[in-house]
Amino acid sequence: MRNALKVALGLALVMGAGACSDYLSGPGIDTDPNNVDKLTRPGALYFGIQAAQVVQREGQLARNAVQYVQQVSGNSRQSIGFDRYTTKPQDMDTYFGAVYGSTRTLTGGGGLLDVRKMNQIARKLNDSLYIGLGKVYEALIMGYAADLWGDVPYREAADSTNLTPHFDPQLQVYADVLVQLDSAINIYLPASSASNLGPGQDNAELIYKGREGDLPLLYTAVAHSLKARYYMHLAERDPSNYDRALAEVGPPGLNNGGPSISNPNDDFQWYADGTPNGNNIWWQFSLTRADVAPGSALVNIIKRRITGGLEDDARAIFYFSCADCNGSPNDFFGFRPGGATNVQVAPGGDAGNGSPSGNYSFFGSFIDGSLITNSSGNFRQQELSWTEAQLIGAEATWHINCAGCDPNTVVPAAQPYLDAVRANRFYGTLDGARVQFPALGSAPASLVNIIEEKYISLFLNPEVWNDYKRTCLPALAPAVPAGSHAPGTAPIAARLPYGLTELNTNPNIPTSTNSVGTPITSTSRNPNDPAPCPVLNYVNSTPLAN
Amino acid sequence: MSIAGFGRMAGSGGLGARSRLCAALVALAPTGLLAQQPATLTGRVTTVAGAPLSGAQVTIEQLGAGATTRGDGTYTILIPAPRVPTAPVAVTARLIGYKAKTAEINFAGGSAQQDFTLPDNPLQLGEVVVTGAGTVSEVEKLGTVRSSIDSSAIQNSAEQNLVTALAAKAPNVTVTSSSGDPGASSFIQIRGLTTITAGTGDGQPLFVVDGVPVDNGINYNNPTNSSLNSSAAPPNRIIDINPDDIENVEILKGASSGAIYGSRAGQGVILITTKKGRAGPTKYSLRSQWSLDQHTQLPALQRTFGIGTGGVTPACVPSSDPALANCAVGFGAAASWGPELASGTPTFDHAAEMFQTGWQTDNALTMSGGNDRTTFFLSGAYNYNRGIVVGPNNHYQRISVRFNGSHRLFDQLRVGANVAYSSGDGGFLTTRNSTDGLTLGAWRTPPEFNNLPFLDPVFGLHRSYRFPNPAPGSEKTSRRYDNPFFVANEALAASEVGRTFGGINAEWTPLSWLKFDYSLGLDYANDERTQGYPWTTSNTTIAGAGGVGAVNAGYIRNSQLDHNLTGTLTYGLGQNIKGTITAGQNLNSQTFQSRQQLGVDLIAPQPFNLTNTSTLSPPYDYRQTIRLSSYFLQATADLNNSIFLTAAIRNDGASTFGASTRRNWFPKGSAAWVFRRAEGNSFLSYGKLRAAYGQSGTQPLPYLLPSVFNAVTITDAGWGPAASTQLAGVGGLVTRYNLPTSTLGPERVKEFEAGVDLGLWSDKADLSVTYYDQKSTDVILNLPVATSTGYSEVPANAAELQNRGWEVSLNLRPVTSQKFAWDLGFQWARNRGKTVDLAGVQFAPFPFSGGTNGLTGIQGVAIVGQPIGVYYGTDFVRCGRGLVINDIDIDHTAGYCQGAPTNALFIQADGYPTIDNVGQYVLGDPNPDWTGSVRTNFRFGKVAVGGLLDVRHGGIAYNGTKGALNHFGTTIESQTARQGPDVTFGRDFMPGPVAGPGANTAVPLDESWFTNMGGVFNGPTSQFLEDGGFVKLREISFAYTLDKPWVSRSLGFSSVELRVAARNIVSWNDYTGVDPETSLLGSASPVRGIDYFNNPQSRSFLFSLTLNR
Repeated sequence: MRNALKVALGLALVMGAGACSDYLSGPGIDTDPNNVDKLTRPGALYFGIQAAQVVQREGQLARNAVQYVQQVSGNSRQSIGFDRYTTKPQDMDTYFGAVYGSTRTLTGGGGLLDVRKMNQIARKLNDSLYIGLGKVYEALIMGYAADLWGDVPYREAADSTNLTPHFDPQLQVYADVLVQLDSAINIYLPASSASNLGPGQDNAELIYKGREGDLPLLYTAVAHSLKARYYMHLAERDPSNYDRALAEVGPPGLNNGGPSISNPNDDFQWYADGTPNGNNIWWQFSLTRADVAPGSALVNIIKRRITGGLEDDARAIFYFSCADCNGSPNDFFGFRPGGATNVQVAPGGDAGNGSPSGNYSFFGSFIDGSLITNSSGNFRQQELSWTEAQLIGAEATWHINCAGCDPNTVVPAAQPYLDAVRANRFYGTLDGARVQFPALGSAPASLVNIIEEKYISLFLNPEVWNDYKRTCLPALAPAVPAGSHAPGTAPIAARLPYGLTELNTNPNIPTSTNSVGTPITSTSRNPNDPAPCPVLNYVNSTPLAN
Repeated sequence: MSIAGFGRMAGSGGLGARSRLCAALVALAPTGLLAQQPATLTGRVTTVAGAPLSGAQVTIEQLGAGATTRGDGTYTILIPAPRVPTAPVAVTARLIGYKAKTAEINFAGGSAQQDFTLPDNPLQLGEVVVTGAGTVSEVEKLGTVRSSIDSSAIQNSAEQNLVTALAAKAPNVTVTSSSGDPGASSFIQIRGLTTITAGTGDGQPLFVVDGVPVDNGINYNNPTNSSLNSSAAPPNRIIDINPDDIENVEILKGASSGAIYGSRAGQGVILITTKKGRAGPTKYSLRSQWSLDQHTQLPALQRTFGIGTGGVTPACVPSSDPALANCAVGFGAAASWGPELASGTPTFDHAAEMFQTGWQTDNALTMSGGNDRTTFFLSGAYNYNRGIVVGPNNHYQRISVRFNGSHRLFDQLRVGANVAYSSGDGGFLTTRNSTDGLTLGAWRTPPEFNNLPFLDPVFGLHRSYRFPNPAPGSEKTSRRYDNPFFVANEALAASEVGRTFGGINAEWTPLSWLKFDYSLGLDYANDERTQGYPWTTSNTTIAGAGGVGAVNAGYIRNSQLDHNLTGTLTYGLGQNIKGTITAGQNLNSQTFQSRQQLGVDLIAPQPFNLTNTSTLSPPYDYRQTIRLSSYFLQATADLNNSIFLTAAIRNDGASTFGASTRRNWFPKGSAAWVFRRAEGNSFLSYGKLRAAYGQSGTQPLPYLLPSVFNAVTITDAGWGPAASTQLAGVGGLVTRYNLPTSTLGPERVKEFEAGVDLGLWSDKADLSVTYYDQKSTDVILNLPVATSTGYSEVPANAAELQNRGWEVSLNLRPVTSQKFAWDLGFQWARNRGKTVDLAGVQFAPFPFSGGTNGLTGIQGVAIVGQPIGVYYGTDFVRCGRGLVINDIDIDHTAGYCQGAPTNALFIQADGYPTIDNVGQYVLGDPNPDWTGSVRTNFRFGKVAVGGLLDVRHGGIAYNGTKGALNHFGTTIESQTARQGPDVTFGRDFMPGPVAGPGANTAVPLDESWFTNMGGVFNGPTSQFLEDGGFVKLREISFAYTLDKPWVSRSLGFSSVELRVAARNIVSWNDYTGVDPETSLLGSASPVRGIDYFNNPQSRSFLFSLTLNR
């Protein structure tokens, strides 16, 4: 009996110690103690969306876009390849994903999924201001995706119950985001009232921080600016969109009354501050990688325009700097696309940029963290601006009045728009103050001048790639191919490849040769951009058009 | 049926309480102890050859008395007068490696004398081995292969890190040391990769010390603040164990042996048993070791061409702007594609200049002893390793103490405690893919630039080749690449670990046939981290730190509490059937917490303290708890002492499992048949066939299942820049990347193993052959989901892997005489891993194996039909892949690939190949074809000479370092190519079939080639793969033991051992970088051989003196 007791005691010890039923579950045990799993206010997501989109607009996608149009040139490592349109599906993987959500590498988030989640919460709260803002950001995000990739999943995207969303045609995506913008403009933003607490209540507005009370008006203008931009993207297919774009812009001039952004003070500028992860992404990239440098095309265009009396030195010496220029932009030299070393004709005195002394220009300190110590990196780039709206007005007016004309044709009707921009040259915000250059006099309102003005004014804004695809201006010669000293024969890239994960997992990915993630070739164009641009050539290692 | 012993106990069971007490006392002083005078048993224990055996245990179990033999083999057991038996008692002499002998001693005449001659026991038959979770078995009864490493093998390896010490010690146990740095981590892999995402097992075996699971993780600093491949590399935490404390290491290789650990044994189990005291006089041992360390092979760098591009030296223009005066921008200022250096131009050995002769000192004192009721083991050790890199920031120090005590409270109850404290302080170097790393800047430096002095002599400011003229104003300007001497002297990466592990244990034997074992173990570590990036740092991974510096400081705490209780019943069914039944219960709780804070922009250059920074980032704060509740049951049956059966089952419940899959079963079963036991001379002296089957598992990482929101920094996909969701004093959230799911269970490894163990020529040789077939099912895969869903992956039990292999060990003991002994050991193993199923996924990357967490361009992946962990990356355009190049379908176009063999290199019109931008391809297999080792020991009198050769045949390594240095023009290859004649692809360069319009065109291999297709940044990955196999002389030693009587008389020691040895002396390989035994991410990465500015390995020459008393 005693033995039996000992056995029983031992077994009780063995079996009894694990009797606690909640040992394997509970807060912090089988639920995540590190992350939020429920939200009742939309503010945190709204803030996250605004913060996250900065990377999409100032990071790799922006670098690709402005490298293709040679505002910027890759002069080291992988960036040289990007100059040559060798961007691969794996290069795009996280950025394509970031349109919708996030990836393990912590790229993305704040995409379409979060917009929809935010709107869901906002609808529960019946907060029409948030709903309206959500629609504006949705249009911003998805319109950008359509710009870069053409056909993209949209209507069925960002839905965890549908793992293989269909790709919507690019033109339909534009149409859909225009509907979203109309809905924001006409229904939700105007309906906001005192009961709509919006981002002000949540301290969640990052772009127009401090002006929370004006958000309905400010974002209504932003929505119109976006509409104007997207109508322009559709105009190559259907020129009637020039009229629609012009209607969104409104009359020429400062404080034109809109409906687009009517004053530079209301420009939509990405947030940046002096904190390490709050720094402008271009500034951070320059500080950490320095793999890109001023592009010879932009530098040369500015120099040519200075020589021609169309431009002063102010923007050049703000955008760029150089070792031996003594403050004179005439001594600026940018890098040719495709890597300086590749286009070198003769050794000595030419670092691949035509510079007789072998020197080259750097970015201005506003985005070059390496140049000036104690630089703060707080430069806020303009995404949607009065300047862009006015130049859309100029271009749309030019086309409406002179369809099919030679680009050098001057259209007087477009003049007021162009002159307004030249007289009021604003560019982002540095150290809390708007960057403004002295007024310039009138320049002939030819399409060439309008687009070159936009090309210069929208330095680093990916929108310049869309302008190029539509107008083939400024005239640019493609980069030389890898490993070659010969001029480039492939045209400038007109779209990006889809991300690798999407290619591998979504059978609905378009299979037409100009849409899949094959290398960018002359046939790879988006549906809104049917006409290829001419392949210009280098002469004596200088781009023809520059 | 009767239970063995039950009948005997039944007799005493009838006693009353008083009688039971008496019985207990009698047990302390057995019946028949009537003598009134103390007695002494003396004797000597020797080998068959007559050599004295030191450390043998001589016990009289009936009296609970015993002693350990001295250096001359003698022993003395003193028996108190009341306990001197009148009847004969059994005395047994035991020593690991020898067969135990028992003799009957009669103390009728008072003192007695008994010598023992112990035959060799190379097969270790009869020895008891731990088999995990509180179970033990005799070696002979094991149904699985045994891999055991004893203390001398560990000690002789002279490795600071126990994992590194296991290299080449057991078949299919492959160790990859990440570098020769002090405290460098090592990855251990048993029988191939069985998991992809690694789960909670880190992709490495479970480490268990004296029955208590302990942490062997590697904890990088806050991963959101610095990429794993570009920061200082910390150790794997098993380094906290003093190798001198280890008695024995048992490796449970596969599921068939490790199933008793259920869902934690998917990658095998390493059972470590620490030393214990033994009854007898207190023994002392003081070992003092000193070594000199040197780097091993390095990449060869050119010293002919200087800085520049296109043969032109860059112009550095005097300027008030410090950056402009220092060639900071532009490729020409970064590369060595400048002019050929004029004769007489001084050049510098940038490959080796920052290395020095390091040294290591290791002092360990152990004391052990006890009596028949109480034993103790006490150790203290101090190990210090001054690394092979110049400067003060390259060291690792471990101070450890251990107490291991046991006391028999009653005859039926023994209690014990085993407690160790270890303090590990390290200074580590920022290395690998770091512009502020040691070798990246060094090996890219043009040959004519003198990196010394690293501080400008006038201003005392950091100078580097991309910033040669620092002047006032540049105190906080990035140098683009750090001067290696600056890194070595000024950058701080410190870790201070305090770790306590151990616990209490008890063994209660209430009945002779019933025993309970209990252990309550704790493993607690606190790791204080400080990483300091000085002013002028070229760091690119921490936002805002470049130039202005940063401090990342915080702590990592890891704790594990383990409760393990087993009850073991011993039974017998007649004479020929007996066995045990063990029931057990285990509760385990692991907690991990890390808090780190990054501050950037140092206010003053020193100190590296957060208060000395002007901008604090949002802190990193992470905690996790993993709990496990398990029951297990094991039964053994010995049939006719020749057939041994074991069956076990474990049920695991884990907090990491989904609610609907919370509990899971893990069975195992084995059979061993000893078909031959021969005494005397016999060709086949012993034979055993064995077969086993088992299942083990790997737990998912915690908190994978729900959808949550992160407050994170959104990165620019590895390019450095990032945007925070916490800005302007406000915080935002974004949805995490994983698609929410509700079920996730353990990965399951199912293994069948069979083998034969033979003793040959009267145990002059033994041979063990094992075959295993392992299938990993339900392997957790982060299934990629279309990113247009808003998520990028979903964890699922989806994949299947397979590993099959052979393991052979052959030990020869041709000479075993007293004067001279020679033994030889051969090991050979082969593992063939294959990815069987990936649930439709094209490939699954291994975490931290390249790719986004390592390097772009290459990663280790699982691909169906391919070996597990193959390299996957970019290749040149080749024929037969259906490629369209510049709108031309090359496979079907005359003059292109039409008619060319598949995989022919496509040559463009300009005579060069080009990169295939469409696809990624399987490029090579880093897993070796086979591994092996040869070990030998000679003993001539008191002189012993030993050696260990480690062979890893095959396996590809990725020399990304060369790929980058090609781009910058500092490799020897880039020098010879630019000096040499034009080459024709397919013939002079990249030999093999070629096709295309430019085929057979001679072209220069110049800067244009190396900065484009021939370099790592724009060219394909495939060209930088090299044979990673090696033959390495791991150990060689010469020892002399002084144990003459005069030693004891004059020095007071029983023996003195002098040992001269060397480790990693030479490696024969074809790799052109550092030693191909390398790993970019150390023990964090299951895929070896990826090399991107990894630090070299080290070799050591050591001398040790051991004093025994």
